[in-house]
Amino acid sequence: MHESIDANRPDSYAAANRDIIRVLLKPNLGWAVLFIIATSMMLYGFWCEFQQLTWGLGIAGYNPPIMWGVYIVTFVFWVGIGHAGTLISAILFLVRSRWRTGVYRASEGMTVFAVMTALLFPVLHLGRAWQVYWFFPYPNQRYLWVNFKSPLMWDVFAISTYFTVSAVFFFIGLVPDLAVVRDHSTGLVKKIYAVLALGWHGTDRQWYHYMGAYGFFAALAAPLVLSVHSVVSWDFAMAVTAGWHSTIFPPYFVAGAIFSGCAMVITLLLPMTYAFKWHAYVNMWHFEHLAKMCLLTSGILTYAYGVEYFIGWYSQNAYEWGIFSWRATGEYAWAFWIMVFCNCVAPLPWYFRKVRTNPWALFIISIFVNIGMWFERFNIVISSLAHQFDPATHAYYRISPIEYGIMIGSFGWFGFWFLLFLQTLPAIAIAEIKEMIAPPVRGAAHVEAK
Amino acid sequence: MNAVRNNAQVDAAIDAVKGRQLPGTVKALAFAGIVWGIGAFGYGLTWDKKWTWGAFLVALVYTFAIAQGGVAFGVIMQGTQARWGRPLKRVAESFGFFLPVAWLLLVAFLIFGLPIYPWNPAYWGTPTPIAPHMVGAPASKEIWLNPLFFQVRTALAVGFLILLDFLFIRNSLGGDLVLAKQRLGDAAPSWWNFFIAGRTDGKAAGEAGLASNYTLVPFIGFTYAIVMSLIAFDLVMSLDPWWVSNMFGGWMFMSSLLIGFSTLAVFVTVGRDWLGLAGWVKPKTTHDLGRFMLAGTMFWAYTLYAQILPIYYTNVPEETSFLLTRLMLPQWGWLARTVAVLCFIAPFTILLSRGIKKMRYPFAGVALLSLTGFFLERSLLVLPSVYFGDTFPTVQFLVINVGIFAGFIGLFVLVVGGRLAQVPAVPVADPLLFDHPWDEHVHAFGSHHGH
Repeated sequence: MHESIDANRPDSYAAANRDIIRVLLKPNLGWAVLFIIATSMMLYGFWCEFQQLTWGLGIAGYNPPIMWGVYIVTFVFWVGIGHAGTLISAILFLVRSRWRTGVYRASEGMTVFAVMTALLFPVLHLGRAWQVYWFFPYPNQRYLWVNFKSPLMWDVFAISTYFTVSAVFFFIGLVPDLAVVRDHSTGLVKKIYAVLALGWHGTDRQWYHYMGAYGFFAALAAPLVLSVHSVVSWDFAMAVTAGWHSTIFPPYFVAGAIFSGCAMVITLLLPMTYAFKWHAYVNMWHFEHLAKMCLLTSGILTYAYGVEYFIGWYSQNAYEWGIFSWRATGEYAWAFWIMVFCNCVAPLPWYFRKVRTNPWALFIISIFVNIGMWFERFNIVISSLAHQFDPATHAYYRISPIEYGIMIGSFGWFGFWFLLFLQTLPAIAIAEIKEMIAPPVRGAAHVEAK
Repeated sequence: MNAVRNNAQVDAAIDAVKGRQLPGTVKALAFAGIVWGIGAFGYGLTWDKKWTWGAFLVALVYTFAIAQGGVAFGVIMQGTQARWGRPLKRVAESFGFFLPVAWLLLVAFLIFGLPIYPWNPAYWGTPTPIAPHMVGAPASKEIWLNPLFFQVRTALAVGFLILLDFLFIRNSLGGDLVLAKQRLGDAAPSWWNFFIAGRTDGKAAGEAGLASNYTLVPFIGFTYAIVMSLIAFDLVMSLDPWWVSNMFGGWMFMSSLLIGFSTLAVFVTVGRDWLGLAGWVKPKTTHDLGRFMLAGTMFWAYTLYAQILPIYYTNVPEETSFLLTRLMLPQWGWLARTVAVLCFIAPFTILLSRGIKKMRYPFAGVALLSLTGFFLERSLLVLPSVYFGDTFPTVQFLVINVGIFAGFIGLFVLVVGGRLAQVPAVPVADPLLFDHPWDEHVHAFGSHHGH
């Protein structure tokens, strides 16, 4: 296991610097094509949102009582994607897991951009987006306060805290690497990176304080991984709605978030590794661990799905059992079975080492997982609202073209930022890669030397 | 880049087996516990059968959790290929020797103790009707809570998990015993032959065992989750057949892991010299085990909170009754507060300290605190469903419940300690037993940032 990473380790600090920063500020054709596609998707999303602002929420597919639709589904999806980065960077740092080194920077970037994307959706869902500031408890003459008892309000605080800590943690991790980029650039670019590097020179004193701060933020960020998606799950669990009011939701949502986040890391990093020829830093050893993480969380999800059904049946509550049996057999059964297939069945081939070390199999299964996790949220949000206690309120929700457009736009928005990140910031942590290389000390034999 | 194997240290671990026995004082205490347990059980049956079998159930699920948690520790080490806990692996897995005994005690409970369940027609009281109260509801409880079905599925499910555990232990221990037999010759205990199965190459047997176990890990993990949830839903939650929480199974199986890890902490610190673990279990090892316990403690609190908050918030009477009984009634409320302190507040606060995790006896003390808390926690889950008096029967609790618990623990110590004495206390054939050079590197890194 360890030999694979040792064999691929770069020879020197200089090689690590060169290999990782050589892709910065040099857009190639492939990058440009992807950037144009992402930007186009994003612009289409903006146009759809403009239509919605102009004509109102009526052009979304809401069909009372189904007043939470694709926006909330996609919001939860993106918050979930935003989980893996902090898990990989903070929790795996605290447990000294070695495989995080190659993948954590890109995962952190993914986290920040995914949460930025998620944050759009409550605004879009409002309809009157210009009144978004009503979310926040600001002093006002009428002494009006937000409803602190509402789980939706808890969300505002939980996600904004998570975003702040993730962004700061992301930036702290970048500081030594930004100094490397500064030292390897000239002119205006050098000046910009010099500002961003905050005067970093890698002295003992700086490292001493830096590692203290990094450990502190890791410890601060780790519980947030649990808290954020738990709070998101309570948006549902706090309601007396069949299929939502469930005590297992917090850990089940967290496991699902880690599952989807790790799958998204595979989806993003695998092509990137090949495009930038970064096999010395990110290779099958890392992807295999990510696949194992997905397998574990897929197992937890399968367990949670099973327990929900069992308790729904065991409870002898007609409404609980009604919603669970309807999900599997009713009008949205297709969504349910897509979810089951993608989340419980599709990852199973990863039990075989040959499959989880095959790039194509990794990529394709990770796409299935991403699809499955979107449908999981669709299954939870839509089906429970469509099939509530009173049969007279049963309704069917169809996603409108505008909602499709905004959802596509969110992927474009995410891609836009992620692609910009790849061109401007080191996507692999140079400083931590160097920790795995023999220090360039003349005549010194180091424990790490080959 | 491979770890450097210290053969002298391995040989010493094997040689330590010769003549090692459970210390006389421990044996005497264990026997005393068993005698007290039997006496307490007999007295309890004359006082209140439901209470007494409830106490038996608490002790049963608790010691089963320890035994299963120990094996699960080995499974986690195997699945994650972690090195830090390798020296603890053999001690942890040895808890599994108690599992067959636990299964027999479970069968005894299923045969004789089932009338404590109000859904049982033979209930020692007025049985609760379990037919659906609502039109359109499935008649699930009539099927699921059928006594015969309940007995058979519980015994079979637990038996199946124990079978998988046994395969795991056999694979893990086999290589060690082959290696040890080569050194000890005829001085090796005869029961080893069952695990050795005619093999002579310790290294090959060790590697083959690890490879087989690597395949077993996901199956044991999933079966553990299902069977421990079944125990939680059936043996504990169904004592109150109209209350449900779908987190209950996961919550109990995670806390069962924590119970296992805490017991492991006590074994490897208090029994360090007896097991010859001084050179293996270093401060950094207990530091890591302490971190594991800290994470488990936080997860226990998190999953408990995840259950309480939605129930409190929505305030639906069929859900709140279970909590109100345990949190608000004066005869139980004090126990709930004690559990909160012993299971979370105290261990969480203390285990935040790096120093405590590295100090032998203080660390054992925290583990014991947590273990005491979980005994009370399991009691709090079970007893209010079998006893409806207005006051807490303190004397009976101290005599009957603590006595039965002491009996189970005494039995556990005799069975596990007796076997553990006769095997190398560390997994000598395990190629991951020794630190990797990287571990030194990363530890140095860890201590740097922690100053």
